[in-house]
Amino acid sequence: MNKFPATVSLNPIKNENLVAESAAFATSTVAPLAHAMTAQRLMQKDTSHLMNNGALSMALAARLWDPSVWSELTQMQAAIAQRLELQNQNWRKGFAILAEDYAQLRQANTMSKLLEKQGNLISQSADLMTSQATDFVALLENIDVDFGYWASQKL
Amino acid sequence: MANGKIVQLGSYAASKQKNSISGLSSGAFMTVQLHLARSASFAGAGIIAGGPFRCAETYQAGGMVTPQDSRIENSLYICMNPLIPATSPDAQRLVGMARETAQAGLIDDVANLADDRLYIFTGSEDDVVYSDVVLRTREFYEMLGVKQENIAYHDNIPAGHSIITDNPEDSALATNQPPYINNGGFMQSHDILRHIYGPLKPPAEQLTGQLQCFDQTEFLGDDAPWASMSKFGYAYIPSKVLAGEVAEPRVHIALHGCKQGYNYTDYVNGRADIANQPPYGNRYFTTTGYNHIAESNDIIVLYPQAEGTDNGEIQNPDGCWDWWGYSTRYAESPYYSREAVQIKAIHKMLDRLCA
Repeated sequence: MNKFPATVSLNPIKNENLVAESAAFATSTVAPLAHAMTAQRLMQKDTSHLMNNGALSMALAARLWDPSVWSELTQMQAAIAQRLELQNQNWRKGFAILAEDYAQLRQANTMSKLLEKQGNLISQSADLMTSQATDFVALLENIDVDFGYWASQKL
Repeated sequence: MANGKIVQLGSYAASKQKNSISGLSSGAFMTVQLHLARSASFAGAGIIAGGPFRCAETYQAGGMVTPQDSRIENSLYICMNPLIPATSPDAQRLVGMARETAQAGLIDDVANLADDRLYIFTGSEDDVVYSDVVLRTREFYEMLGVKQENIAYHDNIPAGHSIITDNPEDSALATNQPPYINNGGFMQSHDILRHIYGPLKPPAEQLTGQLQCFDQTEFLGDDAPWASMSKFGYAYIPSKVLAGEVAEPRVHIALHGCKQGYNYTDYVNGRADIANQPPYGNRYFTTTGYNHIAESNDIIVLYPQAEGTDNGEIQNPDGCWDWWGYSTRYAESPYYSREAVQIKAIHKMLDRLCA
């Protein structure tokens, strides 16, 4: 189990037909192309958000005299800083757990136990990195969506 | 307990208007949807950490963002974790959408809601569904004409994302993690039912009715493959109702939240952790207090069950109820409508109990 204060990503496949279909797809030559297209589609979506938000920001410049706009922009910046600080705390907690596990390596009394503990350490390190990366990207998405929504309401 | 037997959900000539519904988190979002879609069937609702009707459709960015992508983004970043109060759902706009949906005949007349009683709760320590969102749910109902005195709104208890119990073994009150059942020294389910129905008898010391396990698939029909609902559901039938001594018993539908269905399995690094399935799958329908107060007040409690599905077509790994459209197959039966897969199935269960 993941010990870090973060959620794990999920991707189960239950249906037998789907498993067969997925296996066939995974071994086909178009699979890398399809994955690249998915990545491209998501990047286009993010770019779309950025362009949309850029246009909204330009239009919003005409409302800079409005104190409510300033006030809410400041609130948004504070909320982002708070979430980054929370992520930083989670990183430090996770790192402390890793350090504790590393210190316990010396207590292994068989080679198999030592290998297991080393493997656990590697897995937990990867989990921590993944959760930090996904949390950060999720925050960027959150900012994209919320800023676009907020700015569209102000215009 | 269900004694290992699977029964067919029975008919008890239950009331057709005095029923109610409550839920936590995705169960609360679904509570709002079901309440609006079938408002003629309900006298009240309990909403613990849930947002307003169709809030996943609050904002549609232009360009390459499809409506489907947009609903997921809205659900995560506007309906659960808005950065500031101003980026939480717009209740006024959603009220307009609810009225239009009713005029289009997709849900019951919103006028049915006027005399309903609502219990709405948000824990001040909830970091899964923020309090700013739940406040919008209250505003949404008020704008739809629900009387203020009929709404019990609680936002000052330092609870995390959870249904609150007085069980000593449940998580600490401020916890925000599964099984999302926290000990706050009182049974929230009792408060919900007391607010909806008025003074009730104290909860029974012993359960002398039956907690039945029934096959949900008969209510799904051809929709089963994309319903994301479990094979089995549960219902608590009080002893006097079983004995036929109660005329028109009331039915309360209790909807669990994400990761709380009986067969929820945790996933680690993308794979089902079947060697270590969490042991709390039956806790929502056994330990949250609904059954004990239902026994002493002759209320049937129905516990429909959602399950995790993540097969590329349906992306619902945590077994959440559908409030962002993953189960929509046909444009004429969107996820929030009377004919939506899950709403239709649950209401068919209610119809069975009322028959």
